[in-house]
Amino acid sequence: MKGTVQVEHLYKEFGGSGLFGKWGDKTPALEDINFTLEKGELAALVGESGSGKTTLGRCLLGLIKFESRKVKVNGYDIASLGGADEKAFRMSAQMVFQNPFSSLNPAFKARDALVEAIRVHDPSISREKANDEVEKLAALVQLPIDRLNEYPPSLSGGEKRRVVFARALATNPDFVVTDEPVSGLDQPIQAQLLDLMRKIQRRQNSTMLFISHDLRLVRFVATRVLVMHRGRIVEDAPAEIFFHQQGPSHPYSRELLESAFHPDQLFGPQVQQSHPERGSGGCSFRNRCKFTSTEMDQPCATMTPPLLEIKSNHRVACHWCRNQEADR
Amino acid sequence: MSDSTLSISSHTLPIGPRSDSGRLILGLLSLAARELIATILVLIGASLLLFLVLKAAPSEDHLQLRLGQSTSVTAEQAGETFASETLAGQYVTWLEGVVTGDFGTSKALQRGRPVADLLKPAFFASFKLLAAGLFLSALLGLLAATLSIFRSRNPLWRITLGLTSLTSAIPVFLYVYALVAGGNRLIAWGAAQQHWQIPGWFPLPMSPDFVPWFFAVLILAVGDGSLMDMTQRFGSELRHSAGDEHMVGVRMMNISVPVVIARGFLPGALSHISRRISFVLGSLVVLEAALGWPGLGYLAWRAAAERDMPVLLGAALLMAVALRLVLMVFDLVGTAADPRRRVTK
Amino acid sequence: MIGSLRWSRFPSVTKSSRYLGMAIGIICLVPATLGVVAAAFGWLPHDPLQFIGESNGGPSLQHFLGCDSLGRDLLSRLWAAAAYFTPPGALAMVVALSLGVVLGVAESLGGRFWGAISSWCLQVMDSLPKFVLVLLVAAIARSNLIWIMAAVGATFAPQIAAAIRSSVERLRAAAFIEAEKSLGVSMTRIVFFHILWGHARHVILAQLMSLMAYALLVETSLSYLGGELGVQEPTPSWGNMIALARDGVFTGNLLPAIIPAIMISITILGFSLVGQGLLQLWEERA
Ligand SMILES: Nc1ncnc2c1ncn2[C@@H]1O[C@H](COP(=O)(O)OP(=O)(O)OP(=O)(O)O)[C@@H](O)[C@H]1O
Ligand SMILES: [Mg+2]
Repeated sequence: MKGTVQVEHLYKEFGGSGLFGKWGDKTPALEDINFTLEKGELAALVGESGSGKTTLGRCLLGLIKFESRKVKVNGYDIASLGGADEKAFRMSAQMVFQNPFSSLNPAFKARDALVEAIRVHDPSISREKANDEVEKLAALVQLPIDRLNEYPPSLSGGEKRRVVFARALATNPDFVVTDEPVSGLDQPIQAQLLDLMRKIQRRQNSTMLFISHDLRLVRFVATRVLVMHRGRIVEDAPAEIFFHQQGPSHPYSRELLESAFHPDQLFGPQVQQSHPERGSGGCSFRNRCKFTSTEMDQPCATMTPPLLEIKSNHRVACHWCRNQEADR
Repeated sequence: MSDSTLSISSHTLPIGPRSDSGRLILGLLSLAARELIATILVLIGASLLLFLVLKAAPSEDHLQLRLGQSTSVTAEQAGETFASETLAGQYVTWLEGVVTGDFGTSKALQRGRPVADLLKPAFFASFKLLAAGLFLSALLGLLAATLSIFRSRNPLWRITLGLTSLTSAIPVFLYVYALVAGGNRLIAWGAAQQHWQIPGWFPLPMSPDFVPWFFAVLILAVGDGSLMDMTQRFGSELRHSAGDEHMVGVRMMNISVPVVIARGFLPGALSHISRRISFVLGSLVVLEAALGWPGLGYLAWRAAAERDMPVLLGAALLMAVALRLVLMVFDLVGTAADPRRRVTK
Repeated sequence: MIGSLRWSRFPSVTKSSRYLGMAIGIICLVPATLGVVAAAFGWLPHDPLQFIGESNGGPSLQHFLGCDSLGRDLLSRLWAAAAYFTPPGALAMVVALSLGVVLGVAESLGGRFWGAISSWCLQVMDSLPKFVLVLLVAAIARSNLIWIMAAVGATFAPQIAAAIRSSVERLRAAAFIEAEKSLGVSMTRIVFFHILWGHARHVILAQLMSLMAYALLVETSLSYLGGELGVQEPTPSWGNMIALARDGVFTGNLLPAIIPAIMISITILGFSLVGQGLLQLWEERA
């Protein structure tokens, strides 16, 4: 049970006003998310900005309310967390937040943040012992000990990320969500941090959801790739297939991969088509899809493609891909 | 990259374009309606609080509230029926009277006179004094704050500002004492020398005792920490609105800097003045009581000293109503000036 | 271009002037503190209530500041007054702090229902003029200083609550709140330790300082004005000492009136300057 994630039919809407949130515009952020992670997997979640990656991570940790048939993380039912269950769950699942600049309280030293993370679930640990633990953690994430006595605003970006990462590791979690843990750093440091992250994950045999929009980094660490577009998972493939064998199937994944490794193509004369309205039915990518045109292919405009398996372990949400697969 | 995505149009500025003035007015109207409802609720709460405080007293002070309030029955009868009512009944009876302008009759101050008769003339005298005091305080505060920011390196100004704090820390009653002890001679001397004649060009009609009145306004504006507080808050508001990073952008786009500073400064300053009113009202009570000038504050103090509860409660409620209305106006003006607040409301 | 950039920040308050203000404020509070300590340990030079000297006697080795018109030692009365004011003043702080924190936290974090209720309570308290409410309580409580100061504290609660609300509003969206939540830190600890202690303690302390200045102002004003509202003779208060010496000034006895007046002014100035210094310290950090 530990280290597994099961998500079935997860929906999340933001907005809504009035006494019970009944009125006003609601924006769907996540729609019909389905996937499972096994213990020890390092899955990457990629997708464009605003596609709902962070929101999904927050849902998985029970930080925001959502609707679903079933969401189980480490065996805990997230929708009905409470009391002792919640405490145990908080210890077993952690998140490294997207913005390290504001995810540390600027009023307290880095050391205090880590001591708190260690003592929060077991207040009987003495301060001295917690301090020793903190120094071990700092060594684990390769943070110089003297940096621990600084306030967060005077730490560099990379140091802050190490602190945040150490904080997430403090409770020995079985499942960690890392939300763009290395964005905004220079490439050698990125590589170093990612390598560290992967090593720690292997050693503790924990499950990790690695959120990113940089496929070059993903190729470096992930064992599995989940592609999100406009609040839906459109492709779920093993990294082996995605990067090395036949490549991704969904047109959006192909575009992502191409732009990651041949960014020069992005600068050609390109017609920027806007996406259709959210929740209006049909494939959300159809306006930019290279393989289909909206008028002719009726299903793309009217029917939302379901996420279906086209090969073992490889699922895609695309009418065109399924037709291709059937033709073959 | 195309050029159009790079150029910055004026629409990205925090200042709203003119075209939405209709929407602004509509929004302000709906805000005013909502605030009116809130004001009524708050005033009901305020009257309830006053009533409960009175009720909590060990004595029978609250029975005074009804004594002779209605004219049809004799005072004693009214008092007896009032005493026999339940707590809620007593409150409702009193509130009914207050809403219809019947505050009861004075018990000790001017025995038997309706409280409303006492309050009405007092209110206008005090209101003038209070408004003038606040205005002067804000003006002096703004002046001192501006100087403290733009001339902060000049030691002479620093010393002046320090002295301002010192003079402002002196309580109002001490100023009044000094005025009565020493100032009266000065005023009398000036009057004898014909110094205090109102100059012919002065536009406002003034009563001949304008000199003491002006001194009273000055005391109100400076004493009890008013000026110090204004200077400090205005200074920090100015520093925020003038020091923001977006000022660079404002200059680069050739928009009038003073206008932007004023728009950033005004909402915070107004909300600070409105917070200050409650304190200045307290100073006003002390000032009027110490000078013995007729006014709402003098009335409140005398009523408290002689335990004349109908008058005291009447004065408190009247002040609360005036205070809420002024706050409402300030809030509307602040909202109109501050685009950020307009968006979030 | 460089010129316009240099304009972008006005010179803020310099470090030295900030500490200067703070230091002056602390010095201003020394005489009153001395009095409190002296009275608490019984080190007063004379009994403040005994008629021991000659009426309006000038300063001498026996009576450092002379005597008042009834022949009581002025210095002893001055210090005893400070000591007499201290417990009620502390009560005002406690009342303001507890009411302000409870209502402020409930207003900004209590959800729709409790938020609306406490915001209503705060507005009600804010809309009644503070001094008049205190007058009402003074009239009812028959000049019992404990009740008067409790009322002062209660009327000051909205100020404390506003400070709390603004810091909560500022931090509500900060990611570290969510990070603490996902660590399993309880909401109580987040609110009281991470938000209030971490980010609002200077502001709250500054508010408490201005509360003390205000409480002293109210007490001395009531005692000076008389009408059985403030501290009553023979219990000393700086306010009623001035009231007693009021007319002596015209016969040339300046000291009994001027010294309490100076004490009141510098103590109020001290509280305000310390409060201001704290606020500036905070502004610089934020
Ligand atoms: N608290 C919120 N209230 C309203 N809408 C929100 C909120 N948080 C996120 N959204 C919306 O939900 C959508 C998904 O946001 P999310 O932060 O999950 O994107 P993301 O994939 O993490 O993007 P990025 O790569 O830029 O971090 C966006 O359209 C966003 O505007
Ligand atoms: Mg994100």
